[in-house]
Amino acid sequence: MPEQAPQTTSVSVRSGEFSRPWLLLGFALALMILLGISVEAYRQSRRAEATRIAVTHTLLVLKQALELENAATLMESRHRAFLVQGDPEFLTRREDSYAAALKMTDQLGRLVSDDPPQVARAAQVRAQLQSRHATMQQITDVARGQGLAVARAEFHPYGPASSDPVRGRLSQFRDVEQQLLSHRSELANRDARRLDSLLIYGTAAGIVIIVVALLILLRQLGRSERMTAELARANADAMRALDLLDATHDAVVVYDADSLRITYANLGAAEQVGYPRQDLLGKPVLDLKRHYDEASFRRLLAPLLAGEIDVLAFETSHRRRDGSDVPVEVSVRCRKLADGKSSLVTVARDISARRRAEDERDRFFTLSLDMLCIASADGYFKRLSPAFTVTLGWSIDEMLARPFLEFVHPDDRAATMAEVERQVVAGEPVLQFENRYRHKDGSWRVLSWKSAPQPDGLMYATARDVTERKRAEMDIIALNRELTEQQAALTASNKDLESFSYSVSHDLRAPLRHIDGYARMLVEDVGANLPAEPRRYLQTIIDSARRMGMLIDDLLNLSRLGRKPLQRREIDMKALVDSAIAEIAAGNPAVIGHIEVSSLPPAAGDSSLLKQVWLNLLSNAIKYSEPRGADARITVHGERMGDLLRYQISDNGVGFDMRYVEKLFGVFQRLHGQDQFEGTGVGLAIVHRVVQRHGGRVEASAELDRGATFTFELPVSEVAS
Amino acid sequence: MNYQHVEILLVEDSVADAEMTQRTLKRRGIANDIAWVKDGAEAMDYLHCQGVYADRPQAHPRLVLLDLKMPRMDGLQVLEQMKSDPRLRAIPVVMMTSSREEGDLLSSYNLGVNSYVVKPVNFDEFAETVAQVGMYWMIANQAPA
Repeated sequence: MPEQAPQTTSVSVRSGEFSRPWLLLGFALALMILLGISVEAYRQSRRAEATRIAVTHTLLVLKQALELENAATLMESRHRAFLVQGDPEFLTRREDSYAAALKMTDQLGRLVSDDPPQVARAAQVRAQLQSRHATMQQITDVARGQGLAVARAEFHPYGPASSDPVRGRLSQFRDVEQQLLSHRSELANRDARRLDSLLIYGTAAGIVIIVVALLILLRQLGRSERMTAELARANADAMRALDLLDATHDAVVVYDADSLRITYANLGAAEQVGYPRQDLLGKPVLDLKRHYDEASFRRLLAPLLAGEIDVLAFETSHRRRDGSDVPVEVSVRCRKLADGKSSLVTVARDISARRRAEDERDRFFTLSLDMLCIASADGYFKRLSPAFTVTLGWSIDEMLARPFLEFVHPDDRAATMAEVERQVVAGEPVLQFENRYRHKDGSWRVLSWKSAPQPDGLMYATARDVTERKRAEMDIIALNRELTEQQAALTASNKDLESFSYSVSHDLRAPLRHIDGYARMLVEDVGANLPAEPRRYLQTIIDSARRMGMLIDDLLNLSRLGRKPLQRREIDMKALVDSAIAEIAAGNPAVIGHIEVSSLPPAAGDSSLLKQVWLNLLSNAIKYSEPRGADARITVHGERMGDLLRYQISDNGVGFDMRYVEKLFGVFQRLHGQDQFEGTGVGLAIVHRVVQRHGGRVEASAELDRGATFTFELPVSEVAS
Repeated sequence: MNYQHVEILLVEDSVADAEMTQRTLKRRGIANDIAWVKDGAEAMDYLHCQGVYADRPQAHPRLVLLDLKMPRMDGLQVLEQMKSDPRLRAIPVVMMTSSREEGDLLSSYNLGVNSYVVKPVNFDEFAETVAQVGMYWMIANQAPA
């Protein structure tokens, strides 16, 4: 629209235009006419002036001649008056008139100096005048000498006509001048008439021409103003359009189809190629084209210029000022201009971001360790990432050449087809399945697929080689099975152990009870009658049975410790020790005086088991310090040592030989004879077992006959739990 | 007190235990009329007056001393049957066992045993225990009318 406006304007101008030469000719004609009129008028007026001067001169001559005649007449009259009256006054006046007449005659002669015949006549007039005056002088002399009467007589012969010769001459003179006057007046009149008509017609013609020219000019001026306004509007429109073009980041470049030079470039173009805008104007567009020389570029444009296509679209690179390249998507349109030339309008879009995205995508595709592929519903791969070659050994071309199903394990083909159909036909969004693919070396790889369908019927899928994972899973399953079997075996053997201890508990104790019971019954029934020795035998049977009963009980206790789950709880250790002492003191109140307990840090654990620990340790201490009698001393104390809780019980009893310390915590291990100290040899084994189950450790140190110290430690973290 | 009634039924597979128990109860004067059967099945026959006991007088013992571990039918089974039988439920049952296993103890109490006694190895203690149990259940404890 804005581009059409100048065109319509130019058309209207041409249709109403008068050709410039005609207009100029009109003006020149008018000018010449006016000039001619002026020149002629000037000449005429000059001539009229000359004529007027000549007429005036003639009138002056005539007047002078008249005055001369008057003067001559006056001289004659005064002369006569003198003759009549004899008054000398008249003579004086007659002389004045004569002088005036002479002077006038001289003046007249000078006035007609350009006219020789008149000069001659003037000279004759003078001569006549002088001659008359001379006559008068003679008469005067007569009068003076002879009297007036003589003089009158003298004068009389010449009578009144005596002055005629002067008047005759003068009359001739005046007639000539009169003729001259009428001739010159006629001349002047004719000139004046000619000037008038010249002025009237010439001016009228000039005015007409000027008015016509003025009208034409006015009309032209109006057109021109309209045209200017239209042009300005069109220009503004065009400028607005160009401003709009500056708003886009796309490069808009217009260049001439013949010269291939740029005639317009928007801001986007300047930014895109890095040139200042004004540098782009006039620049050969090929300077920006990296991939074309002039010949190839013209070949490219040919169909567009020939009108075979409307738009030429292609992708290329533009070379920037700094030498780098911008990938662009170009569309070119052709505009035919009014002058028959063609202008090419190019819009070039910077597609480097898109290119970069494509490059990145391709890079991901190439670099991915996962296998990426695009497959079509016809059963062939369309595109495969190099990871396929790495995993399966086949080249990409080999894989593209055959239907993908051929690579699938025969047992998996039906399932794979079902998955593909589910996806392509049913439009399942995302599929996850596994199948086996043949490696080029003949082995099978397990691939885990994830696939998403696209509306165009393509499937975009990723695959991961899970062969090793599958193998590991199988291994884990096998291991698990093995472990379960072992667990079962262990549980079974535990059960065996339980039923063993059960039978020990029940079946071994019964005979013991019977041995004891029958021995007792024997003592009850006949004991009194028996000699001492057999009675001692019976007593030994009873003691042994009882002892075996104790052994069995301790053994059962120990085995129960191993199986019973720990009941962890916060424990006030001091209170626990006190309750253990109280339990022991119930059977032997004297011991309390020998035991000293300091404050003990709290612990977490199974209180009944830990109480058993204290019972065993306290019993041991009491037992082995008994020989000290009233001097027996047992101290219990505890402290926190970093991450450990340490509890210690010391006595000043018989102690033991440190060489055998390792045997101390073994089952049925005793360092003292049964005759010295009673015991089953299980107590410390229980202590060891319980402390161990609490995650701690126990140790003993002693010196023979000086006493023993038992220390056990529990981890402090147990408190928190 | 009806002396025609069997006062205590002793279910014990061990001849020695049975003898010692009977001797203790009799010597302490707790019960003279003690019936002794050797396993659980026989005990159920006795209690239901069936089998070889079909002809015995129709009367329930005042106390059953039941050994835990026996051939054929063990003490827990007998206890379970007795406590689920309305006619026998009221008879006090004292479990007499060598076992210290807690599982047995718990099972017995769950089944409604009236006392659970571990037979001591020591005869003196054994006798004392048996005497106390018999005394309590025979004399001190009043059966529902």
